[in-house]
Amino acid sequence: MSVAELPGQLIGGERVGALDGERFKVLDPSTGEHIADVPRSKAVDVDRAVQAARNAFAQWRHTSPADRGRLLTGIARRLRDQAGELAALGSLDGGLPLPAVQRDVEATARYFEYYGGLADKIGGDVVPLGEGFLDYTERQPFGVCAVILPFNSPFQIVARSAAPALAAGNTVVIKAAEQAPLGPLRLAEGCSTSSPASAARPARAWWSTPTSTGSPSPAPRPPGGSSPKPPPATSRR
Amino acid sequence: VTLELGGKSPQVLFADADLHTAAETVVASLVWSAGQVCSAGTRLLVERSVHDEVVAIVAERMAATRLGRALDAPDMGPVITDRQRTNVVGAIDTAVGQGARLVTGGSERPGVDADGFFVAPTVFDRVDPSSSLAQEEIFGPVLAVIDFDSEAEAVALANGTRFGLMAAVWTRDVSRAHRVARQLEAGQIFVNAYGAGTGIELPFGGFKNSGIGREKGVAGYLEYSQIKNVCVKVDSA
Repeated sequence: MSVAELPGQLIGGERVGALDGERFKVLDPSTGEHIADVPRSKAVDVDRAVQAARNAFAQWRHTSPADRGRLLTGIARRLRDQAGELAALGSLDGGLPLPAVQRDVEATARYFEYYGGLADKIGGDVVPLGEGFLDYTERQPFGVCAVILPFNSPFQIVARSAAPALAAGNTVVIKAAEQAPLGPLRLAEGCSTSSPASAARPARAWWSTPTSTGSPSPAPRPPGGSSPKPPPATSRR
Repeated sequence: VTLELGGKSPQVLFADADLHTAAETVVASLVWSAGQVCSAGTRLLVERSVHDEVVAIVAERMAATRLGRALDAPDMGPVITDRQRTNVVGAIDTAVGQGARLVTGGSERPGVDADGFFVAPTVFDRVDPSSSLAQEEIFGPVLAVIDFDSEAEAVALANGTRFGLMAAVWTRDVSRAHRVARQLEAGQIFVNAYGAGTGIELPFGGFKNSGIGREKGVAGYLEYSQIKNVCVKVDSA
């Protein structure tokens, strides 16, 4: 595999280097050989990615659940088309046996399929307050979600985080693991560049980048991290 | 914040189980990732009456594991970095120092036709349940075998770490399978199977120190959305 073809950071659908141009080495753990140089992202790069994801969120949250699901199931189809290349790349820098990574890529496609199918099926509840009130719940996205990947099984972990996050109407910033960034970077690129033009914007907000400096934690509102809310002003019986 | 953290997941093997299938699954589910999965089944708790037979099968399978370059589709590839190799080998040496009985493997570099970060598939027997080998996540291909006499002792041993990610029960007794599954402190229980790294549809996450929140399945989707309650006063006519 040509190192020249290996991807860099992906921000707002564009492949870019780190703003200061720094890169770091990726090794093949099977041989110890140096196989690629990947952008070393800094806080300013993360800020760009979060801004791109915020911009995309403004539209993606209003995209209909059915359309979100259709886009995700489309990604599943393309991942299967790309499965051979992805598995080889993931096995190269992750060191897992090729058949295991092939299963990992197939599971990844399944996640996009599964959560694509779920996007228009999870509703809220009507809460029985009796005469005089109509009370209901609905589910709303958080906004930009930060996904911090470990090195092991990176494809599945991208998918089991990003697919449900996107299905629920969030956008996503992904930090690949510095030990094994190549597979997730290619995966994000594949999701982005082959998206249908009409629905490309949300997927273009995907961004993947490795850093070797730990977790950038860029998301202003990470999933599940909601703080206690004041009670609703509406009075109840 | 959703976190999926470490584990020291137990495989609880009763004498009435299909011992060959169990032993083979224990080994296969550990070596494919070289033990680098949070849900790896790294403690084998085995009923004393079948202990010797099970350890013999497990040791034979572990020793027969084919190591090699990940892209050549071996049974097991390297661990991810040289530093990780040093950590795993250090844990093996520590276990030897603490008096655990080394059955196969060890800290010496295995014979592999590649210069990468390889560790021998390693089995320790008669492991002290309170030792670091039985308590700490090693993230390498190292299995700790502990024997037990009673179901109650098996459950106590299985639950006797700060982790609670995954567990397996191996038995042909259907009541015991459910009884033990109910008592195990873990987010995912397998009965007569072990699915580390799989299960798109199954909620996945940890009890105790193994994590916060759930991924996968419908539960994983819910983590990425927040509930809004709307209360409407409906005036009488």
